[in-house]
Amino acid sequence: MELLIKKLLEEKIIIQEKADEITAFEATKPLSVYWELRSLLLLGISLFGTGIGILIYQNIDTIGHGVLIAMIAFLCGLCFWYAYKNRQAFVWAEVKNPNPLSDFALLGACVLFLILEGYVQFQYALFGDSYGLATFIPAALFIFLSYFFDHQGVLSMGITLLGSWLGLEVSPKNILSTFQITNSPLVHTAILYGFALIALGWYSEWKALKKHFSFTFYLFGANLSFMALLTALFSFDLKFAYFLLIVLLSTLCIFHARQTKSYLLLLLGVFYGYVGLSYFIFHNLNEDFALTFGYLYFSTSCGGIVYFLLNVKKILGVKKDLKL
Amino acid sequence: MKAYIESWVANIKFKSILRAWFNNNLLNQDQLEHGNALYKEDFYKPNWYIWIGLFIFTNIAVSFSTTTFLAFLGIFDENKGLSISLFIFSIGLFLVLERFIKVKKLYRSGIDNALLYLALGYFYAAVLLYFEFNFASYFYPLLLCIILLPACVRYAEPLVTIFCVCSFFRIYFFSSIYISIG
Repeated sequence: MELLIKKLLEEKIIIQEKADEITAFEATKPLSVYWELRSLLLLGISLFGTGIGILIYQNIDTIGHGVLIAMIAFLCGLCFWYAYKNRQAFVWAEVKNPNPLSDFALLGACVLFLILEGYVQFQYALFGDSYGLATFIPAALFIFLSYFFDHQGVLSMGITLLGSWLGLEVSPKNILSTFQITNSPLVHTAILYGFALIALGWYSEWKALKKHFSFTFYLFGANLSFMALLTALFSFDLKFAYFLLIVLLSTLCIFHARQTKSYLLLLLGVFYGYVGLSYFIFHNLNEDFALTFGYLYFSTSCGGIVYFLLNVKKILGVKKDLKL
Repeated sequence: MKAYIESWVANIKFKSILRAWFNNNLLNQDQLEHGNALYKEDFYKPNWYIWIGLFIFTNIAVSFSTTTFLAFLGIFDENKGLSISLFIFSIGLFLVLERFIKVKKLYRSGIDNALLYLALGYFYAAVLLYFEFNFASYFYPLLLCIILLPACVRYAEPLVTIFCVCSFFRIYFFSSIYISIG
C-alpha cells in the first residue's frame, strides 16, 4: 500500500494531502461484510421456509391446522406490510431501495404465501381440482408485485409459476398422472412461452419499461425455448425445422449479446447451438461411421469453439478496449 | 520460476486498489486513468461466463483428442503403453500451456486452468498405471502432493493449491496412524 502511494506521489498523480487522506482511509476503513450478510439473509429466508414446512409436518396433530394457517398468514402479512412500508415510489426506471431488508421481507412474504396456499389447498382443497387456478393466482400476484416493488427475484418466481400454470393448462393429465413431459402440446407451449418471454424482454428494453427486467426475461426465455427445442429435436419428427429454429435462436442470442454486451447470452447461444448442431449431424450419420467420426468431430469442433470464444471480440467486430 | 509475468500479476492487484479508492471518492477519473496507465498489464482475463465456456470446451477438446490418439494407437488394454502415452500427453499439455501463457497472455482464463488440471491428472494417472496401482495407501496422497507442489509454485493456481494442501493433510493423517510417538 505504502509502495503504491509512494509511486503515485513520485509520478505526481496525487499530492501529499491526498496521500494522507488515503492513508487515513486505509487505516480506518471498516471491513466490508456486505456479501456475507446478503448471503446469510438469503440462506436465512430459504431455511426459514424449509423450517416452517418441517414444523408443520411434524406438529400437524398437536398444533392444529387453524393455528398453523393463522401463524403463516400472520407472518406473511407482516412481511408484506414491512415491504410495503419501506417501498419506493413506483417508476418505470430501476429503483434502488436504500433498505435492503425490505427486499428480503418481500421475498420471504412470497415464499410464505406459497406455503400458505399449498397448505390450504392440501388440507381444505380450496381450489378443488382447479390446479391451474392455484398456480395462476400466485403467478399473477408475483408478477404484479415484482413490478410494483421492483424485485427481480419475485419476477423470476412469477415467470416460473406462469410456466407451471401453462403446463397444467395444456396437459394436466400427463403432468399429474404420468409425469410424461415429452408430449407435443407441452413442448410446443414451452417453445412459444420461451419466445414470448424473449419478446417481452425485448419490448421492456425497447420501451424502457423496467429495462433492467429484460435480462431476467431473456435468461428464462432463452433457456426454456432452447431446452424445449432440443427436446423436440431429440423426440419428434420434423427435425430439420427444429434444428433451423435452434440455429436462428443461437444466432439471435450471439448478435444480441454483441449489442447488449451480455456474455451469458453469448454462452447460451454457443452452448445450445453446439448441442443442437452435434445432434443433428450425428442423427444423420451411420452408426459405425459416427463412432469414428465422433472423436475427430468433438476434438476439432470444441477446439473451434475455444478459438471463437478466445477471439470473440475480433470475430464479432467489437473494439478490444470495449467490454463485451 | 513463475509461469505468469509477476509484475503484471502485481499490477492487477494495484489496479483493483486504485479502483476501490476511486469508488470511495479518494481519486478522480483523471487520477484513476493515470494510475491505471502506470500499472499496465495485458493478460487475457475473460468474463466469468466466457471462462465457463472456455473451461468446458477445452476439457472436451483435449479429452476427445487424447481418446482419438489412444484409439489410433490401440493400447487401451496395456497398462504400460497407456501409462507412457499419458505421460507423453501430459508433457505435451504442459508445453502447450506454457506456450499459451507466453504467447496468448492467458491468466486464469479457463483454458490455462483446464490444461493444467488435465496435464496434472494425466501425469498422476500415468504414474499409477505404470506401477499398476500397486502401492501402499499412504503413497497415493504422497505422490499427489509431490506432483502438485511444483505446479503450485509455478502456477499458483487456487484449486491445485487446495488439492495439494488436502493431500498433505491426508499424508499427515496416514502418518498419525502408522507412526506412533511414545
